[in-house]
Amino acid sequence: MIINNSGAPGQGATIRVRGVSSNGSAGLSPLLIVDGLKVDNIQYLDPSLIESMEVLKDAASAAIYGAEAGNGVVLITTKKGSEGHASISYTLKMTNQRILNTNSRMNAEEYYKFHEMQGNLSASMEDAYQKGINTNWINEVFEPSWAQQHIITAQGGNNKGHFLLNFGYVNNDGIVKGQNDTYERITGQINADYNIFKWLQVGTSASLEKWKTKSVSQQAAFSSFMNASLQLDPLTPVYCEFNELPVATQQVLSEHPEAAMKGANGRYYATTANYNDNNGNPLAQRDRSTGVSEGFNVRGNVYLNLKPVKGLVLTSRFGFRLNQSNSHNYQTPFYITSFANSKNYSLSANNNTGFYYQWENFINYTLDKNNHNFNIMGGMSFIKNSWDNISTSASSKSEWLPILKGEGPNFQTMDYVIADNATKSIGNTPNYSANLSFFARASYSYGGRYSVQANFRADAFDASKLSNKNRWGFFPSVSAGWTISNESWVKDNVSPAALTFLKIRLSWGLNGNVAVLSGYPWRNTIAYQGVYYQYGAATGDGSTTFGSAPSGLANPDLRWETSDQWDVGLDAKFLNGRLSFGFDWYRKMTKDLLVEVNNLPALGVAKSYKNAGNVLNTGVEVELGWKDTVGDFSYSISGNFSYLQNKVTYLDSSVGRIEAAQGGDSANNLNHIRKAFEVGYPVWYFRGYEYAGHTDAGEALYYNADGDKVSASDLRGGDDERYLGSAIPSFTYGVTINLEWKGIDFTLFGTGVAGNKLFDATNRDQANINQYKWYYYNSWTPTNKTAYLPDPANVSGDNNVFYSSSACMFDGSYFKIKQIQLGYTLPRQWTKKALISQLRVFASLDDFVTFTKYPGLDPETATMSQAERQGFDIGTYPITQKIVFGLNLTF
Amino acid sequence: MKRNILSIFAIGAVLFSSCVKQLDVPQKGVIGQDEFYLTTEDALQARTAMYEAFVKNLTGIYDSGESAIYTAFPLMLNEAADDVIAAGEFYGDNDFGAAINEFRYDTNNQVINQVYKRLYELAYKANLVIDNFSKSDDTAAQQYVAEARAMRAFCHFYLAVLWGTPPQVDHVLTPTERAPQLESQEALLKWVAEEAKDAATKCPDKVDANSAAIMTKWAAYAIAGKAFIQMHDYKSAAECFKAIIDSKKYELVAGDKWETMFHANGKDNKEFILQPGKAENTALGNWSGPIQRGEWMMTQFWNWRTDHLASWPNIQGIDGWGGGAIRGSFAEDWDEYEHDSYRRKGTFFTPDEWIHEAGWKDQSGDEVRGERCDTSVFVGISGGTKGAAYLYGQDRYMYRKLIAWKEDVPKGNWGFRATILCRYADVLLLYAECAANGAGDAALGKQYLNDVQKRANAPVTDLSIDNVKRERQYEFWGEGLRWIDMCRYKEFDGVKDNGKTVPVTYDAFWTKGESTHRLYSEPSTPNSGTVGFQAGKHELFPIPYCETSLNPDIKQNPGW
Repeated sequence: MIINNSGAPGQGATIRVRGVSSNGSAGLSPLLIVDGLKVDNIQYLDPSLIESMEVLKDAASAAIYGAEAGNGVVLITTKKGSEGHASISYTLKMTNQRILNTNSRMNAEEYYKFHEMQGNLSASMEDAYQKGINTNWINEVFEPSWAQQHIITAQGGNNKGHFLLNFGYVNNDGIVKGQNDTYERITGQINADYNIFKWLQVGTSASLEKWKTKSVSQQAAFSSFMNASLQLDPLTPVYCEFNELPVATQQVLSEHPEAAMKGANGRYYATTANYNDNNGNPLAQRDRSTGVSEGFNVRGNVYLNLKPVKGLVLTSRFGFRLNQSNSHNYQTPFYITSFANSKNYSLSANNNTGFYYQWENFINYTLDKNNHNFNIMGGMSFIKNSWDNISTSASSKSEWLPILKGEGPNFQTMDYVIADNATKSIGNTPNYSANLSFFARASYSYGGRYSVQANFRADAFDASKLSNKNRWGFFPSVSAGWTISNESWVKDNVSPAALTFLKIRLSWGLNGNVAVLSGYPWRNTIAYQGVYYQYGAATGDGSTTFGSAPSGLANPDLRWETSDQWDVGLDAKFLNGRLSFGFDWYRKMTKDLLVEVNNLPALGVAKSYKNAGNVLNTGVEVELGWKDTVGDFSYSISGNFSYLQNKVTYLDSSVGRIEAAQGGDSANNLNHIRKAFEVGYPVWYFRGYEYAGHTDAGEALYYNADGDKVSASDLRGGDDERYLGSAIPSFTYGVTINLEWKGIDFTLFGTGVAGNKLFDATNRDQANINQYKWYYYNSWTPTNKTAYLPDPANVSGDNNVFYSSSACMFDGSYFKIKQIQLGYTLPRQWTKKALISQLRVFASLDDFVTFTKYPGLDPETATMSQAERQGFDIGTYPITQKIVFGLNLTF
Repeated sequence: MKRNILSIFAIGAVLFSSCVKQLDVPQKGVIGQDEFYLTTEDALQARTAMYEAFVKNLTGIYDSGESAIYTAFPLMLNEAADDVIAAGEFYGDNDFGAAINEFRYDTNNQVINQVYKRLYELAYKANLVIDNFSKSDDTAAQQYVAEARAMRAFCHFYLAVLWGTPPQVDHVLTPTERAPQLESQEALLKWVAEEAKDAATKCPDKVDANSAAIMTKWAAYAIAGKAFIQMHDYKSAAECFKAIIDSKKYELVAGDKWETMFHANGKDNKEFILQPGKAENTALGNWSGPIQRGEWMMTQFWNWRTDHLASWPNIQGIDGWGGGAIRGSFAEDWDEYEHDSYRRKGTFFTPDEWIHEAGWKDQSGDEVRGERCDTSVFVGISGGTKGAAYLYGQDRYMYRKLIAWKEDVPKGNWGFRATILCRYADVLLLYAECAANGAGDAALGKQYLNDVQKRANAPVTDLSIDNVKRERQYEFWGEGLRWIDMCRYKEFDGVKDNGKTVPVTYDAFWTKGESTHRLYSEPSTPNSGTVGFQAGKHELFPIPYCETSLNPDIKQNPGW
């Protein structure tokens, strides 16, 4: 399942395979391997370069990839260059992106009437409404934009070697109005291999990527630009005159006009008069985010295959990733409101470099005799990742003090900072991590019918994760398969026209995970001189004396999180291969789950890590497909469907229930909804008050622990909260339809999820922020007494109860038609005349249609990336709808 | 062939061991715990870490990983007092504090959870010093151990007064240990008093104003005395307070400088007994400590709301949320009793004074004062740019003691004001209270009571329990001492009706079109559920959710 966590340009997608079995975002993603090299993300990879993509879900096949494969493995192989003829191809893609759903929040009339219902209509709201102000902030801030992508590939090969060269360019102007949201990337790929001798093959594949991005902030609830666009009320105009600004702002600007934020039209950015907005105005925030980041990455590997005797291959492979990035930012003072302001100049410059390499050596021996096929493989792999960084910043020593020697971008670097005016801070700590593994595999198959395979793997990670004595993890796995359709008694009696292929598989494997650990949690350490106190403060002496205290509560018994997984599957093809069917049942039990638990307050240390729980993920996956050709027309329809059940089965007795992520984000959010981890429930379920409707007079009611319906003031606190739902979908499904007729091809691809819940975690410490329209249309009024929600006047400002209850929780199910593509390949006869061997043009609508009941912008992105924060909608960049036009030329 | 195989194995073995060695990545910035807590230098560092927790947890906004938009400790103590009203922009604003003031909080309340956790974290840091160095012979280490014992007693004093019988932590706990709950609040207070009194013998003497930043002998005696008097053991309490008075190390600040104690430039005085140290240091990055303990949220929460006002009064250095107010009827009585006292003037403005002396500014930034204020459009509660011509929660009398002056916020919205945890006037009045209850020397008690009154320029009276109670309320308004006094006197009548009505202040010039400014207040009734102090439930705060969710067997307080 691919979760697009953010639609911002350049942000990659997150992939989840088979549910959530571990914590933290580090622990959730499957392992991504491109040409044998473990990579951090695949955004740099152009899909046209992918030869094949295989997803390994069950333990046995993933086992060979080691510890990080606990959440599945995605194996990607890039094209190597086709044998026989060389070719050059060019692809052009123009994408127009936009947000379709711009009306999820209330407009001026709805907002005005809603506040009337709440009973807190203010004079300024009345005033603005009479003037007819009706600002749709989403439309003011976002606009459709174009992105373009060019790719050129040259490839060729013969029986001795192959090569592939690829060059690409992407320019994506994000959907935020203006130039502060952009992404530019140049990529290159070189794949080559050659048989120097019959017994020696060398090869390499390397990809180069240079990127540059400017992006606005997102996903941090409090100071998020996206949030500002969602929360600002429609009764605030975008611009205003000086005397319409708040009094405090006018006073500050009359002394410091350099702090004024004005739009391109010369007018001041207005801010809401109805509450204290932390951002002031999203367009002002956009203007302020001028930071630029750029960098380059080189990913590749070199390998050597030795074939001294028949059947024996010795491989040595060295994979590497080099990355380097810089970011620069300069901020000047600004003043919009007493909350949204900064009176300091600040400059920052950061540089990060990293070098990752993995060195693998293995031996592979295959023996084919009579009908027996026998293969053994054994090897080792060593991975080391080292990084270094410098982060610097300079900021004004006192208010309004400029820190640069001159005006303009030519002076905005650290060399031109006036030392006396700025406080500089510098950070740097290089470090590295390493891991070592050994693995072996033996497999045997007979007659193309029976196959059996056993794997074994030993992994050790470095000291920052586990102590020396718990370092090694051992992971065996076995699998067996029976291809029934190749049995003679089947072949003789059943024709392929009925049953073409039938195979049953069974596997069991053990896998481990330590990804959530870091920072030596097993070690008793002192953060030496990490804190300070000023003993002489009363007489004005600010000098510091350093103190040291333990860095946390150590747990020397920390060990690997292990999961064992059973998988039973069936693959079948019928009717000459036209009908295909696949079925999988799996059961994955994760033990010794690494959890960060809250400690008892008396302990004095807030949290510590423990191997404290067991989680069970079981599910079923079904795939069904039909493809056929009728004359010139060929078509295929395939669908997949999976059902997942997720439950915590055991939690250490010292930990009754673990709670996290109150309010969705940090403790700044004032409602009490939170995620909990408890035996018998899905992982990180929503815990809060359950809304029980309202009385006839519109007063809200909630269920208490005894199941009675009571009003908010009779609730006792945490004990009356209960399970409200899970953010993990139970059902995931997808459908793909392909049609082809005489050069015209059509594809439709859709995916959906069901069974998950989303919580509207808009930060409501202010009563007048804008809300989803849904609240207005579904609230009790004297003329509409059967509405779902209670009287707004009864619950206005009630963060403690109403906004911590299931009344703000929604069904997160959706079905999205992710792609509708229509393409046409010009007939060869025509294009051959221009020396073009193939020309295809296509148009596609991506992410265009969403079927959902969720009132927010996009149910797919209405979440946060860590496992314990999934399902909270705090205002993330929505997935844009895209219209793509493209052209593909092959010479 | 054999040699080749052997050499391959040898190379393999070397590679293997060097690869394994690479796994021992050294940890940066730390040392092992077995290398620490050994020398006197280590003791000093551990003691400094304890004081860091002292300033950060009691006067700052961050604690172990969680931030807050208020300073929890002073907030909780002040909101529960019967002379404070929770205020804000409108009902529901600052609800975390209003819930306490209106006695409609539950175990989930953030402020209660934060104060609880922070006190225990501080006790833990104190226990680290005690457990590791109590057996040391070194005199410096012994002094630090004594300071830590006093600090631990200080934490448990507040834990006992606020929660009754929360767990008592007298050593560093192992991860699976459960700290015991003593059988009664008295038992816990007794332990606190005895610990503090015993530690006082080895605590350092006062040297200068900076000594208020650490647990001196006298601070330890003050804690012991407070614990004794809370149990109504007036005799033992009087002894402790007398020891402090007899040392002659402390003096009352002069009356005309009374107000400076509550602002940044008044810390170098002889009255403070305990006050965490914080001062400017330009070499430190703002976010590496200074902001977290620098009063930022204390200032934002307690400063007046200027966005509803006609202009920004010069007396206040920065905008605020107007989170609290002084109760109108209380201020009225006080004003009648000692209108001209320094402390009355330094604590709040009468409506008249506020209109004329707050330092309103006209369009060009010049001050409007005196008679011009009566009819000026730059004065009063005009609604500002919000069109909201009211101040919710305020009751005509605007407090002055808790707002930040310009000098208090040199960094824009934060600075280095004092958070006073104990001062000499407190000791004098507590001794007087003991004397009024029959312990100690009655004549001395009256003298000390009169000393405080004379300093404040307030009427001099006889020694009586009621006089002392009143004196304490006037002297220490807003300093977090009133709730503790209310618990000691068992006088909760003042808060029985909290929340039933909330005053809203208006300015008749703006709302009724009168010719001169006049503040008036009208009650609002925003609460529809049960509010106000309930006997049998609210005398003690409930053991908060952060404890009960992990330890369901803990004995909860009555009524919860």
